[in-house]
Amino acid sequence: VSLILRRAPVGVPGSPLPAIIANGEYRRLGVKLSDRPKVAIRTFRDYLAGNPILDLATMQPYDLPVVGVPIRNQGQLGDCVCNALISAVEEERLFAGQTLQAFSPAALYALVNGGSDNGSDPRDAITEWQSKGLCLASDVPPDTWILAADLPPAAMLTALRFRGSALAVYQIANFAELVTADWLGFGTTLTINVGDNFGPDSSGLVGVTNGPGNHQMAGGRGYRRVNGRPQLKLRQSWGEWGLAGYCYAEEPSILGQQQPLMFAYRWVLSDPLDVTNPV
Amino acid sequence: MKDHPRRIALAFLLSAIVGSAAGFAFRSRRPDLPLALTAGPATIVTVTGGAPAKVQWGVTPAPLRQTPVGQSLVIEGPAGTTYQVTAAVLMNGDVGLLTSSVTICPTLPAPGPVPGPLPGPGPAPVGPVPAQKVWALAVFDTSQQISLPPGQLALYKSQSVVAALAPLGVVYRHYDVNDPAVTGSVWGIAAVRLQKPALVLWTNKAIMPGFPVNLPGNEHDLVEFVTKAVQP
Repeated sequence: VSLILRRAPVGVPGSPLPAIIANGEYRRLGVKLSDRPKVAIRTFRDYLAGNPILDLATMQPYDLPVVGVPIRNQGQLGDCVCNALISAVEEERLFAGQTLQAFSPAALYALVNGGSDNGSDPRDAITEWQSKGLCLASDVPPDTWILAADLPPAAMLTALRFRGSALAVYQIANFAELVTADWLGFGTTLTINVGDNFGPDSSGLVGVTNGPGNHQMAGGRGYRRVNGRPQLKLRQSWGEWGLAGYCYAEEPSILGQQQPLMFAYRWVLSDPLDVTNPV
Repeated sequence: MKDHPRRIALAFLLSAIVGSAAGFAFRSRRPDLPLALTAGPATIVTVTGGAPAKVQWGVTPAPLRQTPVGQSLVIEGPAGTTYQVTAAVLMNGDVGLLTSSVTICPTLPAPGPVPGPLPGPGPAPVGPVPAQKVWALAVFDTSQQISLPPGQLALYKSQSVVAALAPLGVVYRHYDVNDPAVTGSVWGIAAVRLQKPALVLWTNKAIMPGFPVNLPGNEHDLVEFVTKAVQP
């Protein structure tokens, strides 16, 4: 197991956080990744099958605290993508009635970071989750740096149990779809710009930034309007940062970036060995 | 033989029923007594001893119950009349006939909207947990979920329904119609045929009689429905 000392703490306003790599940036960053096929992801429009999305102008606020899903802390690793995906998966498992499992973002990160702690592409994380599954935190400690080659074979074997189903993911196109998915009970993940104004204010609202880095969060099952501006509640992965692990963001924070990547998750795990499976 | 305890339980229910004076409904002395019916209330087959003015089954309102499910037999007739009531009951797919004696009581509790629960020791009794594991499986067509009634949508997103059913030995899970677990299972195919949000009770590798049904409209109704179906 290789342990690498990390750079400056993340989550501090102004600190660098290159946690997501957009398409085409691998080469620029010198990351050697295979040309892995990106998973074919259906759109949320496909899912809705002609049903309308919510009208945010008339949407009523809601706050549906999720009990039992832990607030993660990625520490100084750039594995926000994996923390967000796992957080959404854990939430969906709970909602479906499955037992909560503690998964390891570090293991998933090892599969998608190309051996360098420079972030990862959310679509790679989805691909690996659907093909190789999720390691348990008891097999691979969550907050450690580990290379893919060092992942224990036994842990990878266990991970196969926790593969995502092919119909589990839908790509979201805009803020209204994102709120619709959150309100309907989907687990969601989304990119958000991170820059020099990212610290939340007293109401939990993160600033609109134009920073170079971006970050991946999970939807937090909440929506409000402040001064007529719709704000979505998010669950992040820096411990108790913000409102006990949550914050709010407005549309420009989420969509005001080159390549916003937002996904909705449902029916995420077949998990053939879950004790709650009907037999 | 497996049905025997349930028949005894229902027979006890019927024998516990007493009457009231003419013109007033009378109710079970045990408004909290749970019924173990798996396919709706019993059907009155015969009533001897005269023609009662009215015979019907009723459900004890939830605020007055000491257990989640309660059912009472309501008969109206002349005071002092004794009726022999024979009821047909469906239990685990098997029809049984139960007979009990009911007397219209000449002395009445004050007629009110609904009598309150009898004083009892301590907290509300909880029905025995069935030894076998039961699954309450809700199947949604999630592509239509946005058009679900608010109660059913809230049911989908609820975290408390799992905890509410766990004391009954019931595991609550929900699925999409396209989930391989649904399309590849007996219970799943049966649920999908219903073409609505459906509820299946599954135990001993078999669908419990009377299922699948339309998914109840809210969490309270779901818990009540499942409780009624599984409690002996």
